[in-house]
Amino acid sequence: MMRCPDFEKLIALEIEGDLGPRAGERLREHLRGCPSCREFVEGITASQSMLKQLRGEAVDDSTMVEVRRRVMERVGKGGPSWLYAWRWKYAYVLAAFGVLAGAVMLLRAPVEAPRRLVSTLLRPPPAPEVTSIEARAKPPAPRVPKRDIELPRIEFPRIEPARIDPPESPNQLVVKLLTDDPEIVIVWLIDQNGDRDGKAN
Amino acid sequence: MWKTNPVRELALVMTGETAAGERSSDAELARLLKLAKGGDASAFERIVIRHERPIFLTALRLLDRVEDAQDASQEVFLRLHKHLRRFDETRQFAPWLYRVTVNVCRDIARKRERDVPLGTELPASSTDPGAGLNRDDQRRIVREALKTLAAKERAAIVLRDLEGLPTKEVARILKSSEATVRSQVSSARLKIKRFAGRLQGER
Repeated sequence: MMRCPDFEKLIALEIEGDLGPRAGERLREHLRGCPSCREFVEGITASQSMLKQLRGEAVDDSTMVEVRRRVMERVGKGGPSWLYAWRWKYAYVLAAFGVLAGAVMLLRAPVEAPRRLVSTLLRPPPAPEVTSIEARAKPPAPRVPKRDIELPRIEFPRIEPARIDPPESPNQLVVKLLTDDPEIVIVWLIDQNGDRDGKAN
Repeated sequence: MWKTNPVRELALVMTGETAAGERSSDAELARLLKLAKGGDASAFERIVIRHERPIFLTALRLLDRVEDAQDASQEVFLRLHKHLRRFDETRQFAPWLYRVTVNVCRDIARKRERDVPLGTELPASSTDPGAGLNRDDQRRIVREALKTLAAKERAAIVLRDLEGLPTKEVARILKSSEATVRSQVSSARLKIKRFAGRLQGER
């Protein structure tokens, strides 16, 4: 069951027409039997009319002029440019011109022209000529005459093969290492059982 | 040259009480917006002149200081100019402008709260509750009462009761639901009533 404080919230809405019809009907029924709430209606109606007196509040014109002056001063410094404003018109004109130029080219050119045009477009551009001062001033490379070059003859010493002695036992493996000096031969005797014995002669 | 009655201006520009007047006003505004978007500075100035008073008064009621309200109004119109190119002139202009005003005032109020704490000053001439109050005293009481409201309640009641905007539009401006706006408005009206009644010696 709603009490008077609950109805006060509804009264605060109803006085400005913000209450729905069903809630409004319930409120009116309550007001018929509640003098306290009727008094409350008078009080809030008076405070609302006091509030609305602010609507008629006069404002000094100089205040408005000052605000406007500051705004227009700032706006004048960086407003939208005519170029920006006309950007779409320029875009349409350029597009129309491009379409017209393309149509004229196609109508005037023979059948082979498109193929030549495409191949021209696909061909890589020629390398640019070097025209810098440094390139012009650079002297040409000297020409060297061709001639036969004789290589020096190198005499290699003759190396006699070293005498290989037969192994001392059938299980022995002999390895001879020849060096640059023919008088030095390294003989490596390896036993099949894993014993090693190196000699230098 | 300048209109001095904000109520008449509100009726023509904001509420639509005169349908024919509103239609011609909307058409004229759309034309001015289109010109201003194209870079016409005089068209933009005419838009500023049409809306400077209600925007300033709204800012004044939200901020309660003339200097802050001037700064807020200036900022609102500069933002308008900045976003003008993107604004669709077939859309409703006033709700958009009010939304910017509320946002700018909220930012200024937050900055102000950080710098200076607000206090509630009672009007000097309201000592005798039995005596009738003159219009200036009543306005002063109401301004003090508005200061006691929460920011959202204050914005809701200023837009609904002082600017005369319908609840649906207020909800759109404040990015709230209509039920929330009604609740805020109801609460604000009750608080103003109690504040005024305390000063006037009521129950």
